[in-house]
Amino acid sequence: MMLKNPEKFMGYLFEVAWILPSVAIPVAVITAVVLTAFAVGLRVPDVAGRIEPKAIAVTQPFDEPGLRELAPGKYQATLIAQVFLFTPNEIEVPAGSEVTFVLTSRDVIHGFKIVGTPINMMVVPGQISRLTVRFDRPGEYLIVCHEYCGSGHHVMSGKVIVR
Amino acid sequence: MRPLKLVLAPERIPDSTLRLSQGARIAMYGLIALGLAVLALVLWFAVAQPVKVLPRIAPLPSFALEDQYGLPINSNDLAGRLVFINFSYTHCGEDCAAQREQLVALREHLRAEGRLGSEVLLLTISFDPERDTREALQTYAAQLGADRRSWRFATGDPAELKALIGGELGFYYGQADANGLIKHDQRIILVDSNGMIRARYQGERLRVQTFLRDIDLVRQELGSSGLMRQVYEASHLFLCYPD
Repeated sequence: MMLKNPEKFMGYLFEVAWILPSVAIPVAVITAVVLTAFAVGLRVPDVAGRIEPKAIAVTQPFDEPGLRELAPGKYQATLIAQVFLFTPNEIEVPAGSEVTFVLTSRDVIHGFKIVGTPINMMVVPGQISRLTVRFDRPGEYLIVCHEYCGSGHHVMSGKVIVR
Repeated sequence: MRPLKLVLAPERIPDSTLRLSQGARIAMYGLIALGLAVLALVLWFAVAQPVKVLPRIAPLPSFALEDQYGLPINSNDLAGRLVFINFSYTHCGEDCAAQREQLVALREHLRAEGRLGSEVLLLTISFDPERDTREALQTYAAQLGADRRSWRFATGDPAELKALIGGELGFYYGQADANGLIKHDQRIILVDSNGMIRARYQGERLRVQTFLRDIDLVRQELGSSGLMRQVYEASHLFLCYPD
């Protein structure tokens, strides 16, 4: 074919060059979605557990929100998000600490981002979100709610002070 | 004016190599059908979750403690059996009543089924070594009617306990207050016979049926072979976990 009719062959080649990617791209995207959703275990937010929103006050560890030391240099910060504040909204740790943030929401979906760190998660009522980060550099790190939660959303913030 | 001449189709497809033979066409449709069937199977498996497994949370950190008779107990000794480990202290009293009852109820169920000791072991680790001496642990074990081969009580060096329970497992416990009570996370973990943590339990409403179901899930999975083993692996891949 190639030798008998080179023009036809080139036409055929161009057609294939368009058809193949147009099939391959959706297949690749679907595969990526299925793989990340099921195989890699991508969950938004991280499934650290479930909680009954009405029972937050009597469920560990949210019955006593705040910072507590798990072991030398390791802390757990338990925070409750609600319109329009975090409880507590200020946390102080020594530099070099590894802090695990454990959050849940009392009411609507909130966001939890600590500027300048990889901490970035959703806080969903009924679910517990958990992430760990190490604070090496002293300073003040801003905590913001980055999931629109209502009229006072812009004032919903806090800070981590690293000494 | 010249008549408009519309050419709808070429006279013929000039080269026969573009056409598929009958056999090739069947093979092509067969391949497409096979691909769709595999995709449907994978989606069905992921959504319907016909086989459940317990997640492999993390390997049990290694530890070296002493039990109520002064015998060494370390993480390697536990291999080969399923172990329920809880973290408590003997002076806990009312605060720990619910968890104590859950473990006693589990023990009774397992004993009735003849699986206690041989298949499943209970281990209570005390984070209060100062007050929980061997004698205190022995008394506590006697109160619970614990048999030394199926339910062991261990404690050890405070720094090692803190590093194990707080540092590695992430369960909090504080200092004793004026009344001698210690604030702590009430957690029970299930470790499989390969030393992998498979479940973390919490809460007063926890039922013995949950423990028994999880024991069966782990045993079925670890006892499987051949194709079924691969199915269990796939269940891990697709996070087919029980509620």
